[in-house]
Amino acid sequence: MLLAFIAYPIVYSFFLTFSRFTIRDVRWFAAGLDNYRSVVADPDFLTALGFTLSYTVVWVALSMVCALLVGVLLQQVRVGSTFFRGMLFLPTVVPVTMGFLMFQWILDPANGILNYVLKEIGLGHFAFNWLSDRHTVFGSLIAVTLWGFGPWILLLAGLLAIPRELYEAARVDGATPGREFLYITLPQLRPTLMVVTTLQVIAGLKIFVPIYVLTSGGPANASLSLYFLVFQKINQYKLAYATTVGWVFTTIVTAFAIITAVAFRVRRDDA
Amino acid sequence: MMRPSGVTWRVAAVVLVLLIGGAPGPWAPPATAQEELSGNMAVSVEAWMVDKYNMKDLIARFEQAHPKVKVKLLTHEGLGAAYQRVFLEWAQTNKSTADLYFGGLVSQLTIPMIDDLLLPWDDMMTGELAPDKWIKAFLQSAWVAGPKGSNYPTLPGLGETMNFQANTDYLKVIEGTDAQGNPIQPTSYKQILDTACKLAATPIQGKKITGFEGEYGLNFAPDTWTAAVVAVEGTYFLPDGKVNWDSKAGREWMAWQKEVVDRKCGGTLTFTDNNGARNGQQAGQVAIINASNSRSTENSNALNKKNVVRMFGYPGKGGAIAFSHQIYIPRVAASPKLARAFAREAILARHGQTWSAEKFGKMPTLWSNYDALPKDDPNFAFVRRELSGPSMGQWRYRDGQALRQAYVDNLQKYMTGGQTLDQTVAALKAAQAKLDLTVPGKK
Repeated sequence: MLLAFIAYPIVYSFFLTFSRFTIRDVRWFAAGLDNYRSVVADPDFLTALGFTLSYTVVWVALSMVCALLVGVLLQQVRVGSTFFRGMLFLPTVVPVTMGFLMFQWILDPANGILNYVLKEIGLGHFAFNWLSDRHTVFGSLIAVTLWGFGPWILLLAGLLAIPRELYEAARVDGATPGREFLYITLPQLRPTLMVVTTLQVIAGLKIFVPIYVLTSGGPANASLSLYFLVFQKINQYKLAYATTVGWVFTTIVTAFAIITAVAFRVRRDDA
Repeated sequence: MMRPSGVTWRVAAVVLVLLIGGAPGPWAPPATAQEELSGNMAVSVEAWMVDKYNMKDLIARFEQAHPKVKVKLLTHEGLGAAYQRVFLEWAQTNKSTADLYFGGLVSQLTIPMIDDLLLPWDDMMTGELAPDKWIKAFLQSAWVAGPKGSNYPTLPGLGETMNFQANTDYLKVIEGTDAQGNPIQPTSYKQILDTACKLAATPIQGKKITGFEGEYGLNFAPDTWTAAVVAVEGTYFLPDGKVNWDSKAGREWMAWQKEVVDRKCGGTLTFTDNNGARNGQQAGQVAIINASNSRSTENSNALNKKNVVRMFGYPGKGGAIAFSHQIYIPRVAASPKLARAFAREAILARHGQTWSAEKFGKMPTLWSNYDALPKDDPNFAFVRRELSGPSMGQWRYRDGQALRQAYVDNLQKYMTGGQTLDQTVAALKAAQAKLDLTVPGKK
């Protein structure tokens, strides 16, 4: 099973990056490094790489802050915690594509509720063409994909696993909530943060669905991600080229995963 | 006289049975022109066609006419990577999931046409399906050069033309219609611009609307450019078969599109939403769009007022872009005979083609079916005039999809101020120079 569904496709696709591929046949290794040269020299690839990295950095940072904030708040809530958790969980159960279609309507420049409200409250000069303006599409995509407040569920699980005695002892010693957070919560949450951040980075680098539903990579490639570029190249029958972009992208994702793991390396507990 | 022997009586009995069984009479089922078919087949259509071409009804009728045949309906996506998967299946596995495919414009089907993956239809094109019975504007895109008998790897199943669709109730407010309620045919792009700006500035039914929404996405943008060029210059090709990006009409078209948006008389929904213009007109928010003719029928139905959305053509000398969704049978299909019968008796039959035209504006591709449409419908009459005049189809290069994407990317970059018109034309020429411009057919 491992061989059939993982090893074989990986090896096949890697060899494809050095080949010429048409619908009819594959000329193995006939391209040499041509596909890699084409990718590196392609302005669309560089545009997509820039967008993907920028999006990932901003989105991961904001989603982790949101998730931590929500997780800490839910950790503290005593009354109605089940209700609040249920409400915050709702975005997770809405089918992803439906959710983004909903945002397409919300952000419609003429008929969307966002611009309607902005105009009603006297902020009509902020009623932008959110998804079709190159200056606002990046921020719009970030905002839309933060719906759901990030991976707060995973962080909440980690927060709830922190022994309460630590907080009680800290309070006895006069610790403020801020110091509790800095010296108890964050260190105790470190392993969870490492895993969740790595997953978020990988998810950010893989962004595709919101672009497919909301922007098609536009306007003028302002929201073109690497995965969407691969999709475009497949649509143009540039299959070996698309595979090469995939491999370059995989290398980048792997590098990020390693960097993230090293940055969040868990200190050995000397005790 | 000798009495007939037992053998003689038996032979006579057999002859009698044969005579009775073979002779038409009131007890025998009437002879039909349809063949006696049996077996299973699968037809795959683009997902939107299930409803807009009433596929389930067509299948039910076909199965009723041929009780020994079972037709399975499958769907595939139109835009995206679905066709690559389909063609790879044919080429790499020598099998096909479906026997008949309906859906896909010629620009999407050039690869299997060039790579000879399709069964030609030529031997079926006799009688009511002879080449002269088809609407030439649609059939010409399916024709490929080559030996006799291999010139039609696909056939047009339903067709459309590119033009402008306008809400005539809104046009009436600014006196933009003639005595018959049709949009006044503009003779210049300036006229369309002025109309769009007037509409954007005039409260229509108490609300502010968008005067014009163009097509700036992969779905239609390149076709609007080719339509603008054909309307003025008759062709968008250079003598060597390449696209004439230096076309004066083409440059004017792009410059006009930018001006409409810069003057805030038009929107840019289709930068990011292929259906933005259509949805906007259906919501009553957009007065004029520039898309395929079917939008006029579809959007009139959505606005609940027959023929409220009507068409006008590109300014110029006349000449249209006509495109059509093709029907085709892979060479590796398991049941090509059933596939042909279904194409002939269901998709190309009067009921199927006229139903889709009347409900959704998807035009018939055979003149006999077009003639069966209501004569007093202004939209059908308009498209008929376009189809009767000079026309061209989409380009059919091996890298045609890449060229379409290059046009969209550069157009949007130009319209958002990222490059000048000259830089846009230069970029398009540079992009074209790197592409494989092989076309279907053998010399």
